[in-house]
Amino acid sequence: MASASAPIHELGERGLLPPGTTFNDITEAVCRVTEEKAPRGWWMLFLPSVGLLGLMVSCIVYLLSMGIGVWGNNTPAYWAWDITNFVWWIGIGHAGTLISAILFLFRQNWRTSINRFAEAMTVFAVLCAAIFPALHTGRPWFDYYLAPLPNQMGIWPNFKSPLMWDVFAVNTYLTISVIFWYVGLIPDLATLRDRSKSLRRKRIYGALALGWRGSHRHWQHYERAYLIFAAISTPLVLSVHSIVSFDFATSVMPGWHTTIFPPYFVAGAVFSGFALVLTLMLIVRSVFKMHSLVTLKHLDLMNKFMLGTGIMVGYAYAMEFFVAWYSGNPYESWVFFHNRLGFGYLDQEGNWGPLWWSYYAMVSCNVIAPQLFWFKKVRTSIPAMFIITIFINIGMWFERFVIIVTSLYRDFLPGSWGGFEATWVDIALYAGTFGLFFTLFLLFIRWVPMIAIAEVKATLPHAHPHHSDDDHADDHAAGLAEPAPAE
Amino acid sequence: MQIFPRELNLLPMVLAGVATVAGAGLVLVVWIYLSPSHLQVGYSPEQPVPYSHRLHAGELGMDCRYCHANVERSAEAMVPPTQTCMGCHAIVRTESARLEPIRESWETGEAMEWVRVHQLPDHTYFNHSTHLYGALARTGEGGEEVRVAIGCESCHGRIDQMEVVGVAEPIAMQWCLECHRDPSEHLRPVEEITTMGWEPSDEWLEHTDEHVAAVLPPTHCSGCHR
Amino acid sequence: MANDDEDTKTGKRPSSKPPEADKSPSEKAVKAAAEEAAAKGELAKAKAESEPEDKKVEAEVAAKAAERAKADAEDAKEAAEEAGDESTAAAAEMTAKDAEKTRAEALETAAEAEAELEEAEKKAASEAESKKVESKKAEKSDDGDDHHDDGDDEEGEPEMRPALYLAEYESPDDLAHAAASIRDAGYEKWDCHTPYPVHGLDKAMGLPETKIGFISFVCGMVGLASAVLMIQFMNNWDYPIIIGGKPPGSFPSMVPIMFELTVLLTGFGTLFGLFHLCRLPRHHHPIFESDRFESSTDDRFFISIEVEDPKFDLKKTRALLENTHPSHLELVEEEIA
Repeated sequence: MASASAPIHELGERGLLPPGTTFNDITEAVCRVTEEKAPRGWWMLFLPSVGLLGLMVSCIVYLLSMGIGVWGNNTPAYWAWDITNFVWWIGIGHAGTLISAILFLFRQNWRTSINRFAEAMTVFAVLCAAIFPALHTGRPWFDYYLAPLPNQMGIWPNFKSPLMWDVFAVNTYLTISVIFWYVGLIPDLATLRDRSKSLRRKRIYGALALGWRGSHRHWQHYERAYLIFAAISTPLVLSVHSIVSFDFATSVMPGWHTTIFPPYFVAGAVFSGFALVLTLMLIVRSVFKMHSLVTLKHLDLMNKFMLGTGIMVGYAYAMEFFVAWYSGNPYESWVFFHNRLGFGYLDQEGNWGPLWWSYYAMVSCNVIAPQLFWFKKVRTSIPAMFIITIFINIGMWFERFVIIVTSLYRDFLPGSWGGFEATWVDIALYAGTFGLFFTLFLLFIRWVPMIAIAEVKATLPHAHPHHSDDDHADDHAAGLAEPAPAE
Repeated sequence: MQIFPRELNLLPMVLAGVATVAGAGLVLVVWIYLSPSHLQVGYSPEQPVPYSHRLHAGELGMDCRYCHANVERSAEAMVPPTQTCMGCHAIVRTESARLEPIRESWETGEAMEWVRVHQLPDHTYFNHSTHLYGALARTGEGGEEVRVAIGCESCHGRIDQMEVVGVAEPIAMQWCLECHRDPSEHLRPVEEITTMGWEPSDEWLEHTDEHVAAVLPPTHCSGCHR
Repeated sequence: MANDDEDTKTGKRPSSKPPEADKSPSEKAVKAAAEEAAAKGELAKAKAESEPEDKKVEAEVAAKAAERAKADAEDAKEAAEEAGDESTAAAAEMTAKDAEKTRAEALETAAEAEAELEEAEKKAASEAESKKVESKKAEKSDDGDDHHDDGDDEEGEPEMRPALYLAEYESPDDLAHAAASIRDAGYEKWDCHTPYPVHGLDKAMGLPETKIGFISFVCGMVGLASAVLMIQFMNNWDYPIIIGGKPPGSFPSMVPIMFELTVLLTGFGTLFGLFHLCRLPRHHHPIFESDRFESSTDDRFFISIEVEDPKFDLKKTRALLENTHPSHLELVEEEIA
């Protein structure tokens, strides 16, 4: 957090919060949400979410009792909605750590209003993601084979397999995200503890706050620990989706076997993660009236981020086509021009690739829609950005569907061509994971400070001793900076 | 306001201790108690007829292959049909009440429903004949040739001593691999495969290396997971 | 001691009265009585010199006896003078003078004894104080089980003892200045409590650099090493798996796991290192006894100085904190466990 709190005046930066905001204003604004009765909007979202969660649980029970044959996956599309949903949710989970870690390292102060929120989203999204690969092993009770534990088979996991890398990457990411999130929460849980009126509430928050007493000796270690978490999370967040992309890129399937995959996946993950953060932020902001903490300026900055990552994703789409054409590889060209574009190559009967529409859905949602963010009017219009972020969320799901299914369903031999149709279990399970996500998320915003209170306080102009705007500040600092004389 | 008692400050130490013990305990429990050597060994289901291997294979000294015919030449060790039983029991103990289901099966033509004791998972390829048919080993400079194979008892135990047949060895991958990596002590002349309690002679043991070289069991994945 | 002064004053009285002739008829009896009293005074004086505790009391008793002897002798002298017996009067006067001398000596002894007693008391008090400090130093562990029964700080409620001073400040500026002055006063077991990390406080408090980076680094390296060893053991030694014709120990395929385990163990190291360095979780702390402290996580800034600090002194520390102009200052007490 070091000197992060200082707006860089030379660049025309201004403080993000309205002038005159006091420490107590921030405490009040954030804690009030957890102390007052839930607004009606919260219940209106919570009840359907719990319903969807119930749907997810019943789908899983059904799946376990029947076997994964109830999914639409079958020759040749062995991977379909399961892995699509997995990659999509993991991608969603990237924004949180990106905002907490990378923006922290770059001293982007505006992150403080959204980082807690985004970190929670990361944790919940990764949980949703983890459901799919766990289930698609077919017999999830044997998933412990993935862990390098001594077992009756006398063999160990194959660490040369990208799927094994993926297990490590996702679990590490989940663990580090939870730790990062929780460490960030400790001071704020202490705030809630100290504000609580009832002993029961005090005890619950007090137990979670671990006896935090705002000691500066602790803050000193804490800040450095936070910096270390940011420093290790930054390469981690970039590695996770790179490793997810290795699941595809290290295979020899045309459409998957390309070197552009890691950066392409990371950019897409950030893109979709920001989109969902923004979608949820807009809802929460209006339900809980957090306008003073999450200002239009925050939203504007996030939109710019999405415009940037959207262009990166668009570049990757174009580059894949270029490589397919320039390589002259007929299989690669077939995947891109028939399976995806539809009309580039036609099959013997003169038909388009049957899933061509998914490719067009992807491009229009991911590349064309965010171009509207070039206009400041769009970037600062709440309804416009809400709609665009939803388009991006849909588009990014289609991106994974396109990559996975359209690469598989028409492979090398026309004899093994097949199609893919989602079953009701596919659809209900995917919908159900939204139930899990939103249930956890709504519980989070209701019971946990959804904005990092301590961090926002530290960004106030009067938060630090030598930090007043007057020129005498330096005189002060000189006096304080000298350490105690040796005794 | 003090909300917790002073004793709670011991919590981190207690938790650290509990977590260590619980973690190690969990791994040990899974490792020991969820293993086939604990879950599978000793499984001996009741059969429709209390057929005694101890009597037939042990006391009467019948060869395994009298009933499990052609086991050394086929992938599956077959379970004998009613006809095999009746080959003797049409004459021997024709009135025995215990043999009533056999006679009934003989008359109606309905097969006996023996309960399977040893069963490998579907994703494992196992062939009895590769283990029993024998591989040609050249021992000594004179070029003497012997066929070496695995005996029944290596996997099924001392059948001749079992009143009711049960699982004697953990039929699990690690156990298979132990032998595939070093089969020397399980190899025997092909003539002795059904012998129970066979002891190798000193002369046999001198040629262990040649025997193993002749067999060379696979330890790669596709050896069994084809 | 007030008595002492009075005694000294009364002691002057006989010297102001000039000795006169003595004419008592019963001169022998009077003289004997006076001598006896004087002897008693001598005895008491001698006895008083033995023990410092009793010395003062004995000396005072001796002085009183001597006074009484003197008074008797004077009475005898007056009687003798009235009777016209000169020689007896002179003898009585002599006795009175002796008695007076004895009394003065006794009084001197009493004053000496008094001084000695005071000194002894001082010595005992300082010894007790140093013992108290030592016993506190002995149990520096923060485990909260600091129970010792030096009853000298009790204030009506026998089960409480002072735990720390808690000074409250309105702004980070005030806090930083106060911190600097406490740092300069050489305190060790004290702390600032702020709702968010205040920058510049490290220097204001004179804190050394945190060691958490070292812990994280070591754990990260352990993670890296364990990844390499684990993969080499599992895939190349215990059960070699040849994939894609790559040799055992092929490095590139190990990189992802090496990276992930490095990050994972760095994360654990940082988390548990943080807990270790902060001695958290610690749910019970005397500072929570203060109700005002609850605003430390909202918008107030606090400095606490604990009694465990070797320099802690109820009066001096309070004075030091008052000089930093806190908006509120309190002595937080905790129950003796």
